[in-house]
Amino acid sequence: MGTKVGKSEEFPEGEVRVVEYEGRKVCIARVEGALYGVDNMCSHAEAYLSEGELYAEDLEIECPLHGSTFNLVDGEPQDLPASEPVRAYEVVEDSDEVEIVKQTNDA
Amino acid sequence: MATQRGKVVIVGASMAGQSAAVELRKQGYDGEILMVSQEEHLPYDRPPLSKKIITREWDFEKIKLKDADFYSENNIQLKLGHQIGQVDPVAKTITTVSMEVIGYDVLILATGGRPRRLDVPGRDLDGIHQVLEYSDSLRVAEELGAGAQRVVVVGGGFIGAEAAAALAEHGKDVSLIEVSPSPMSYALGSEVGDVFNRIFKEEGVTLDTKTTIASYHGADGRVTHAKSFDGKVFEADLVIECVGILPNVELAEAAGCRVDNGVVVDGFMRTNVEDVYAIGDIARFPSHYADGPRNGEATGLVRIEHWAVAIGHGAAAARSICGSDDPYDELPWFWSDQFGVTYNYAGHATTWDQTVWRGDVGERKFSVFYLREGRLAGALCAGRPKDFRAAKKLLSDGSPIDLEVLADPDSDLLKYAKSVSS
Repeated sequence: MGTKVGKSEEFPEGEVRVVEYEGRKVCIARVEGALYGVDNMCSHAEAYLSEGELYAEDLEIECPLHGSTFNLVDGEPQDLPASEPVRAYEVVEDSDEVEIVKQTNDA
Repeated sequence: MATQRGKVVIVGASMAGQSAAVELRKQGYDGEILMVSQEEHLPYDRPPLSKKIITREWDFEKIKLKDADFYSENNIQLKLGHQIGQVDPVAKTITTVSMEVIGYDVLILATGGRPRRLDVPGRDLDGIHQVLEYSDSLRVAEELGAGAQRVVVVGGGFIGAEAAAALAEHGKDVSLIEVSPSPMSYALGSEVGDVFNRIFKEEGVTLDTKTTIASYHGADGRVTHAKSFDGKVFEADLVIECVGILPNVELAEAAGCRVDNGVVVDGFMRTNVEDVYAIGDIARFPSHYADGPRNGEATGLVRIEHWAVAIGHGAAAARSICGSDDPYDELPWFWSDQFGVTYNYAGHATTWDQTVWRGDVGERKFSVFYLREGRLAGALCAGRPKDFRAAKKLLSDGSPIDLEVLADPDSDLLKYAKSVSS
């Protein structure tokens, strides 16, 4: 069903990893056990969210360039300068396999 | 929910005007929206004009705000390449310089600014440019692409500093002339200015401060060099003048709006003339942050020429037109990209009595906190995203700051900011 993108142990708590999904770079973050996936490329300028800060308790990831943060659940920007969401994905684990099931927003 | 008020006409189609149009539709406004721009181009993003456009890394496709389809799909009419010459607030009409009369029910003035020019001999020579409009930056890009190598940037505010940095990074021989003691010191103070003096010199920019250009000289009608007031000669294949803007307030004045270093508006971006709003670079608006630290209910008037402020203004005007009582009250902030480092600044500190520094200036990963009377008035952060996130919280909150926590290099400032914020 989903697309396998790695093993569970490759996604430690509080960290961000980049995987490929349907030709795009997706960053996957693990927060309190759960996995969240959003597009790695910021929707504003050309920068990788995986290189920015993960604010686990706010479920946000921040672009390292201009500081827009994106909600990990729905990909919506929380601060300017970004005004468009990034793609958000449903990420599941199935017996140690991490899979991206589908995109979950309209970005 | 929206109060339908017929036709909204927006004069100016940059960030503020665009934001107003987009927010009107978001708020459910379904009357007519017409956006008039004197530029021929679709609305576009200006920050890249001093960077990736002049270096030819990006083209217009990368900076246009929306495709043409967006405007038709959202029923936002664009009237491009038309300048407005007159306004009649009684008849509620504006008139283009080609004498076309356009009626409005609500008028939003988002007319921005035009570049200030140095009033010196030789200013009309070819090869002297600004980077305020796409067409300006495109000409700079074309001349640089055609082999111009020696660039003189006049004015070391944010735009000039960015242009100088971008072109130096792309192998041009850049001279930066700044009238104050250091680049950006007007906004950031002399201590931070000293850091930028060092950075520009390290990056190979010829920096001359405490002077400006007294005359331009050329051959065959084209600039070849510029002379400073202290007699230095700067060879120039082209010149970029970045000495600020003059706000385009003439239309507002003609409408009878109160103008005092900008068009004076209330928190809803309303001028004193009924159904006339002013937003963006021209607007002088009430802000809790106007006088440095957020200070209870006291607000001062301020005019701020920044991207995020323009967007906030547009949205606030749109909300107000749709009947909202939610005024503009955002923390002003901006960023500047130079030599691969993004400098983020929040607040609006015009005076301060103390600065606290964190991080490593040599590594260009540092934060400067500007304090007044024990409260944060502004913060500049480079390569320290958590500090900046904390600073924004602390500025919005306005609580007194524990100086020991701020000065302690090992303290978790974000945690602290969250603990003192509501």
